[in-house]
Amino acid sequence: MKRILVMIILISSVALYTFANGSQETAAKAATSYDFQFWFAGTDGIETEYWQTFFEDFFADKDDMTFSITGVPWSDFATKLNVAFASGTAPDLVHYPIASISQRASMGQFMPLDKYYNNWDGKEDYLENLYNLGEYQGQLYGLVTFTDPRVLVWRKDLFEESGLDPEVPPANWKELEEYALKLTKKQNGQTVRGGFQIPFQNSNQMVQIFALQNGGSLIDDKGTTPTFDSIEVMEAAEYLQNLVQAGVSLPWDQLTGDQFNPFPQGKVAMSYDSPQAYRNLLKNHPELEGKIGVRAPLSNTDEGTFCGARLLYISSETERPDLAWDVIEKAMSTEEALKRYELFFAPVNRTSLLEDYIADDPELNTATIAAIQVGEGIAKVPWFSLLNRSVSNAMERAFYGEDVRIVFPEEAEKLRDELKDFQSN
Amino acid sequence: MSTRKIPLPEIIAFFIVALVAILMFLPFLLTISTSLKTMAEVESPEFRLIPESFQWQNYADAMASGNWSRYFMNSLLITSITVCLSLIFNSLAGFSFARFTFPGRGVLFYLILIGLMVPEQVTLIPLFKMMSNFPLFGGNNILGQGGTGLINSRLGLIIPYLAAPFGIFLCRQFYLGFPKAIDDAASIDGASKWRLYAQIYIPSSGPVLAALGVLKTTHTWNNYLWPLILINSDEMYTVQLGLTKFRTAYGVEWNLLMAATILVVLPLLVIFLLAQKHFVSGVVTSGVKG
Amino acid sequence: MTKQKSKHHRLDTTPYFMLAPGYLIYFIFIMVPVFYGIYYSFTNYAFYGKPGFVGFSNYRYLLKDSLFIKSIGNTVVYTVFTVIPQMVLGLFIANALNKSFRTKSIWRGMIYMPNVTSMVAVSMIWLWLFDPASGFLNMVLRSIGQSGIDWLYNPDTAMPCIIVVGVWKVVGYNMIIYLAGLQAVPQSLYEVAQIDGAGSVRQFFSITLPLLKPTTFFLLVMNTIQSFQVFEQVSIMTNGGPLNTTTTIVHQIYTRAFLDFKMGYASSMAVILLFVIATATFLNFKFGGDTSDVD
Repeated sequence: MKRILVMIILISSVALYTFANGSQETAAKAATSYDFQFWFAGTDGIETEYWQTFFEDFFADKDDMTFSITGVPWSDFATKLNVAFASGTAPDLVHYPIASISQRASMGQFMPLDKYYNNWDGKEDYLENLYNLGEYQGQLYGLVTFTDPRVLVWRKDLFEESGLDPEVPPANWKELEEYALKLTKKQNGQTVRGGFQIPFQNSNQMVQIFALQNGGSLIDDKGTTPTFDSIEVMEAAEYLQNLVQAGVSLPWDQLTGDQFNPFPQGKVAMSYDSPQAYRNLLKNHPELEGKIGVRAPLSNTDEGTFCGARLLYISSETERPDLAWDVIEKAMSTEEALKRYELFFAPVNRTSLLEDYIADDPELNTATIAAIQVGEGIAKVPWFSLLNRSVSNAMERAFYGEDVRIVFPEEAEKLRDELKDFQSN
Repeated sequence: MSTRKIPLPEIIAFFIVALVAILMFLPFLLTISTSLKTMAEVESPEFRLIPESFQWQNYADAMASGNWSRYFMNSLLITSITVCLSLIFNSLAGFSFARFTFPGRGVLFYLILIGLMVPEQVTLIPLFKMMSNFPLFGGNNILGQGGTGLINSRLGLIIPYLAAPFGIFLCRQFYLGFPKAIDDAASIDGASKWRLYAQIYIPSSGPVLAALGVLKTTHTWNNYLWPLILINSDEMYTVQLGLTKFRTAYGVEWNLLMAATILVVLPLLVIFLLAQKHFVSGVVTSGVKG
Repeated sequence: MTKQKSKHHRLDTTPYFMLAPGYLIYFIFIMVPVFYGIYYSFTNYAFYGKPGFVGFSNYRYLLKDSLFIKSIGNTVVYTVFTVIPQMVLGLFIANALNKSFRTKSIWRGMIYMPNVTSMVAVSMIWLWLFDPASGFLNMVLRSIGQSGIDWLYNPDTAMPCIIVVGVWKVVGYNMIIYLAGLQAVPQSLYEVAQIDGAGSVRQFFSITLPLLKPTTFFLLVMNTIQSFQVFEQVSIMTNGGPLNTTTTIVHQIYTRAFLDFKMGYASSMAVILLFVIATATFLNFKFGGDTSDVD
């Protein structure tokens, strides 16, 4: 017994020693040069490879420096980034969705990029709406590499089945409702095939899309207070509520992801989705080629849709901001934009590339660009997560039977109350 | 051993156990089935338990998605060191709590439980800061300044898990059940407390060490959040971090994820089956006799 | 006691040395962060910059936070309905698999499986089992002529589903601990009972159960502590919905800390959770019958 104990301790201490040495070696390497840290949202092979090649290329002529890239799962990026900023170990450059831009910019985690941007020769060519996506309170914090707008997608085969023209999607809200009802199939009063997909839970994105199309907004222009109890937003919410209560949608929580999204499963005929999700669908289901239609989003009184994006941000803790900007410039170049289109079908971000981009796939890419031009990202207020929850909550309560005109003002009032504490706290 | 007729309650018990076992196993069966499907079949609205055609290729594809031999090696090293050391530390502390009276024992014991009551989400940040300021490692000086400490090191994945309140508590409870006659017999022999622990208690601790070992192995092997926060480079990845490779921006490659999940679970299952006979080795009586 | 003391004139330090390695690591890496958490609860810490002291205002706001109050109720319901079934099932299975049939190692392995499989992969299977449109459960229901249930999308059934997954996950672990505990029951007692003509059911209640008291107590305390911190399956399967019927305390802590950046406020929730769990643990110790007395 004793011998076993001694052996275990011995082996463990040797192993511990080896580990410790390993980490000291890497640290020593870092001390002699600058180790440039880059974190990006996403862990899949193609994307990791893209950034690896990109940085190898960038640092090829910089012998005194090294780089490390770290891919982080989407769902856990916020946690990892928060811990890193809290402990002073944040990376130099971050590739991350718009989501928390307002929180991080207002706390000073990201660096304003205006002085670089204004001297950038690609400025004139940068797609117009993209500047707005990376802007917060008059300053630019990030440049867009990937855009992810919501476009209207529909199943042509299911349209034919229901006697609708597969090439002509609904043109406005009224037609959307008619089509959705026509495409819905029920058995014993239960929907077995939906007409138009509306998420039951975490539906804030859908509310935002329809609010925009109705000329409404979830927050006021100055970004100081929620306005989702305005008449425009409530009309949009009532429209969605009617559709859901008529049974045109199947239960789905937007946050559980595409795995359970009924549209790719062929259980719903129409949906708002991203061009990327559409590509992904065709990759997994080659038999659907030619059976899916894509159009720019509808409008009721206004044009509008949701547009997600991923941006490059420079951490305010970096010791080499100029170097980080050089990386951004390279990432924004025409060659890289084209490469990203080839690899991931990422929509281009330069005006000079639009023509070729649209020519490559007219139906999808026209719709995509149209959506990007009118797209709005997540509300740019430091309390966006509270806003999303309040809107989703209000919508959910309406779907479960409460009156929109009561729940929306109620949730908005509750949020305003909370914000008073939030800001004073 | 006399042969006996199996009584009715035991037959009923068997059927209940079998039923529960099958229900418990069902989700795993579905995992296996998913791991052998194509993505199109995974997403298809019609469900089949037996895949249309067996996609064994999924397993090869999953393992080609990253440097898996390295992930397994890292997890193996981290887990074996954590488990070995924590078994010693925990059983020693549990033994001390269970068998001796000393001033402060009660307070020290209840303090152990407090550590269990605060969720990881809150203690994550202070712990991480301590790791980055760990003296003398990762280029840090003796005051813990100047370098990155234990961030992005395997040692940082081990140290915080060496002493689990859970293990100390479990060992204490187990030793409380030991007949006190053992101690008396030993004290007549004039055995010191250390020898009592090493020569009498440890040899009789098969079941508890096996149970704790299995649970600790599972926990360390499956730890996700802490490695995710602490580790930045692929060469330090554990198997659980490797599993994130199948999540893309627009969904998850479920078939590959499931295939990799099964391969990741296999070592745990082997450990469990190996440890089984120790859970059920009659112990205390032999301790008394010896 | 007195006899012992008179025998040792000086304080015997050996027990402290035995505690030292485990305890020091515990104190530094678990306890100190807990103290930090308590300190954060009196600040407006937001991950960045210096935490500013705000006194009790986080706690005052907690009283107004209807969602937090709701989450406490949900957590208590979850705890009550998982702790009892998982212990009863765990004990029953461990007892059955301790002696009777030959194939027991396979059954044990099957029951332990849920505990080893990582939740991320398995959650997908559960989501799919519960999926209203194409899920397995509704397929079964429809095949016997019933109409489907919305499971995770129905405010009445969502929490029960979360509870089922919770029990499913930990029965194997309860079984293992009970198996280890059962080994401390001397075989000779059963032999005596058999001679007296006691059936296996009576043996279980008069011998096994009383002798398993330390194990049962351990599991009761640990399961309660762990159930109060339920988070994983909630965050993966329902995100607290529908209509916040499944949001739990730790889910609220996570949301407030990592989505709203209100670490200070989230820490005050954690302190309340600490008090709730400590109270439950205290009650367990008081009425669960801890046999901590050595003499």
